Amino acid sequence: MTEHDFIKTYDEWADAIFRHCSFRLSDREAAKDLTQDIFIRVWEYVSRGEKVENMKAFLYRVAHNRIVDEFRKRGRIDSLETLEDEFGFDVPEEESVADLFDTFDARHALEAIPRLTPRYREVLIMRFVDGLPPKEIAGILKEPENNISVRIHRATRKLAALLHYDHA
Amino acid sequence: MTMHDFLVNIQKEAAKTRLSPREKSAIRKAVLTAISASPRPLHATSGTFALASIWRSLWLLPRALPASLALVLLVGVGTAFAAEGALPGDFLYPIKISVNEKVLTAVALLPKAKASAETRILERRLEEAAELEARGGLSSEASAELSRRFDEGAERLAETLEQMEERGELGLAVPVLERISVGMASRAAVLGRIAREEPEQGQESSSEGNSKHITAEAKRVSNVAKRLRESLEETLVAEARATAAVPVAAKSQIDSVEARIKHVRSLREKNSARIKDDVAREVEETLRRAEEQTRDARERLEAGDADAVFSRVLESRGETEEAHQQIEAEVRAQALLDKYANRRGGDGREDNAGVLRVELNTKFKNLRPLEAEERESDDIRVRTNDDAHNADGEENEEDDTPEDNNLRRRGRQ
Repeated sequence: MTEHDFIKTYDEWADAIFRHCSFRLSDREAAKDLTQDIFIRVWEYVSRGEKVENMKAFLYRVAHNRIVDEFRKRGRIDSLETLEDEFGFDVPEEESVADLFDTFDARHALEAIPRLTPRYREVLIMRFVDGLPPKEIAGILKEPENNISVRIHRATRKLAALLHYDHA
Repeated sequence: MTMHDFLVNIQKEAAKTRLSPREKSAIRKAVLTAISASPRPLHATSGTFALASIWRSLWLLPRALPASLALVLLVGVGTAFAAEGALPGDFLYPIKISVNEKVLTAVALLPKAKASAETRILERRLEEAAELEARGGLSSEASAELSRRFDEGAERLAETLEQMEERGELGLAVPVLERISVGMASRAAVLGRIAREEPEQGQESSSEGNSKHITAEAKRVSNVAKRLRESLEETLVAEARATAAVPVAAKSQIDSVEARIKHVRSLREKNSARIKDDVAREVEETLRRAEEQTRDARERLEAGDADAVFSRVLESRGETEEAHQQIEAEVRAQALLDKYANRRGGDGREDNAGVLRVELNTKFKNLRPLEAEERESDDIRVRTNDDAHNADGEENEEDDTPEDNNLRRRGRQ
């Protein structure tokens, strides 16, 4: 990939990657630094001659890894909820939770996201903010698609619960 | 509201979180700087690791020799050795060119190592010309052959430097270019000086004409390398500015040039016996000017004036390089003249060649080939693991090796 093409990639995806980092970290400044870092790392990878099939997925994967590094640095600990994720079961219809959202507007929902645990937060951000389908999220997080779908469902319910509680 | 609507709303709301145009452009600039920055740390390049491990295995498994090393075994290591001292017109000269020097470049897998090997080969052509001059004169045939080979070698070196640029190893190219400009200029000076020292005879004055072409070529290569290095250093400086790493870069630039000055000073001291007084004085003057520049640079660093720091450092480096050239040229010329002082004049050239060969054979008789090359050899320096280490990103003071070994050894003679 040439420098020219790469800068076009930056122009196309910088906002999306920044947005992702911003919601994940709840820290705008850190998100800016990380965005720069992510693109530079991706450049270093492609400039070595390595081929990238799907640049969008690759960008998100690098972003996710860097965010995890950041969390480790900051000493965040995952909560008990993550243990639940180990066990998969049938994926419920996404539509069945739709009615939960009739009451709540998008802004409040987004504001509540940082209150979720990291594992729930990451799938909700990827699904709702980044618009990535569960299959792509599974590819980024290197987990079975089924687990991802379950987690999205649970995270959504958790988010709704938070919003309910606020509203009450 | 359906899930779909909800998702759409969320995404619309989330889209409000974005980089401002100024922020986006600032990051873009930083990314662009990183793209054009060099060198990229080689240890991050898996390709280099692969080459380095092949390299090491070459020396551990004799069966996996490249064709050129196999050639050396074919002609016999002793012969390859004796060929090292051969000059154009000597019986073993073709071995020196087609076997020994092929090994030099074949074992250099990475562009930087290749550039060093090719520079060494160019230096050898100039040294041969100077040696022939000192020995009794440079014939037009020998001169033509040497010029031709020099031009070919310069072409190959230019290609390798292009390769380094493509790989983004321009930062590594700085010491390479420095070595080229100093090495070429000093040997050209030696050649010019020896050609002039020849006693006035019909044959010799044409000899000086014969060496003119290769001398001019060497100077040209030296100037090109010098200009390339200077513009490269300016680029690296500009890049340091862009990434706001200025104070650190400035300090390390000053440190590096001070180390260089120290190195050149110690060279002068080690070779004081072989340097004439007037040359020694000139060198000292040049080094004093260089030191003044670095002192000034340090003051500017304290004052926070980065631009001034960099320009002073560039000037200081130029002066230091000049002093280095002067010392090298002086010592080499002196050594050659001394070597042939007793032999110039009536003696036939055959005698000289015979004496040379005997000298070489006795010197290396009892030594194992590689050890001998690394310890004693005037010319061939098979850069082995050194090159692999260089590839891992360490700065190698190239001038510390063949030149200094030569100078040190000649001091001992």
